[in-house]
Amino acid sequence: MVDRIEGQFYTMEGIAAAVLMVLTAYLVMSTTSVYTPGDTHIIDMQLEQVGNDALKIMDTKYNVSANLTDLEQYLWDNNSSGFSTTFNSLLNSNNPGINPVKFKADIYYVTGTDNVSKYEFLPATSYIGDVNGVSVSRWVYLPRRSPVLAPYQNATGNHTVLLEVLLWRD
Amino acid sequence: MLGLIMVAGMVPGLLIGLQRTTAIDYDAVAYRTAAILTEDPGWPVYPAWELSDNTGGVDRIGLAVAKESPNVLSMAKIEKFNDSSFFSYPEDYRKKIIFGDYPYRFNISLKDENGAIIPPIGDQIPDLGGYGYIKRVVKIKGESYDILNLNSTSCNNTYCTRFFNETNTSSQMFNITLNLTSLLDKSINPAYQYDPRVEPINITMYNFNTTLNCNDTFRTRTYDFPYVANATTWNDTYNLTSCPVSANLSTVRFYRNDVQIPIDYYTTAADYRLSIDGNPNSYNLSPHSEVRDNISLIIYPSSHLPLDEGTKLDIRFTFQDAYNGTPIARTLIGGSHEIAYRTGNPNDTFIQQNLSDAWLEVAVW
Repeated sequence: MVDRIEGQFYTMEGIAAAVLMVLTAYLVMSTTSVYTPGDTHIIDMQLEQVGNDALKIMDTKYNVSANLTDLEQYLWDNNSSGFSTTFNSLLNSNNPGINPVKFKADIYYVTGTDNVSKYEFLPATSYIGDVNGVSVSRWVYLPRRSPVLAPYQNATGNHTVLLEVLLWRD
Repeated sequence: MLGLIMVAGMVPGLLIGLQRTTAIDYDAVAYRTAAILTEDPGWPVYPAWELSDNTGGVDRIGLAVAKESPNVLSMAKIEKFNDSSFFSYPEDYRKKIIFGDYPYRFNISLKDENGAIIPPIGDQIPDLGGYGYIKRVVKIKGESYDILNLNSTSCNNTYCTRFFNETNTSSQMFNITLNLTSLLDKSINPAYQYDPRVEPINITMYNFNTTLNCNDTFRTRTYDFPYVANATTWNDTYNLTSCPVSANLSTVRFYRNDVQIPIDYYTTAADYRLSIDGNPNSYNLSPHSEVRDNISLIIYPSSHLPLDEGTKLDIRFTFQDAYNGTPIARTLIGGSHEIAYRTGNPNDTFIQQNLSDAWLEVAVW
């Protein structure tokens, strides 16, 4: 039989235990978030971000009356050296003392038989690197063109090709 | 028990040291800051934060022109962002772009191929590393302006109307219209849109001397004001052989949907800038001043003219001599000109600068 005084003690103990458990749970939740594990994905993210930015910027018209964006124009003309120069300057300008970003570019396009083919738009100059490679891509709209200058182009209709750029640092 | 709880309460404080030494966290903060700056127009959006009179009206600093056009930055926002007399360093920047409870130090720079667009904001980046960093590639949208060459033969057809046979009008009015319905048409990408609510209205007219009234009626009248080249005395009668050398700009008035906007037209203000013939001093909007070659008017968005979608703003330039004794206007410029997007016509007068490449870099430590 539990008397009145004992009952009060049990209640107080119960409340104290509850408070302690809630407090412990709170401490565990609030302290674990402090330990952010470090890994190399952040470096990948930076490279991916700047690569995506560069493609987005190259695929933005200078003004509203321009017909094609820089990126569309380079692909339209099959001008890989122009692409390389512009992309390189967007990625590597204002970077004194930092290893330049290297890149290669492929174009995926649908052929007449609905198969996807790959065209090596810009081959890599070297494959020496010490950080993970990152791939960025963008769909590029190409108006029809005659005569065609590259296999990914179409003489009869407008179409869209997938430009994939692989980025890495030396 | 109480002691145990207090000790347990101090444990997170002990662990904060770990957070400060983890560089990985800085990269994430740098990424978030750069994302806000390049992809977000800031808050509030309308009225835009850069038009706010005090920092309390700015919740978040974002530089993008609009949410729909990330990576395209507005020059007006960049200038406000860099305004050290407006934002106090570093508290305002920490509160409005960096966020977080920890007092981060930072360095934000914006460069193009010619160098820094604005001086870097923040502290010197530590040489020894240990800071979070991210670089974003962006485009910058410059300011737009309208420039009218009154000497152009197309002035007659497209810019303005010249009343060559007009002999009996004591004043001429030239009207410049901004139709916000067509300027803010939703079909135009915000990156290429001209929004006079957040961008300056910049108008220049030059070659005024080619619009001056030189017909016979003008030359054989009696004048009481020496506004012609060979007149030296007032209240004399001349049988003039030469044409007037200047016009007289009496007033500039703003109309919203054909109703005059009630602002102070008699005091110069920082919200607009009216300059005549390259004079560095700004005139008020009732200048009553001689114009030989050019008029330039810039209305800054800080003037808060009551503009919204669907309204029409008219800027009316009236040319009339200060003393109403002259029954004939000295200039033949008149009619109306609308500021509109270029259509490829060689007579287009509205200039929108090309988007230019730039790099935004954020370092946080």
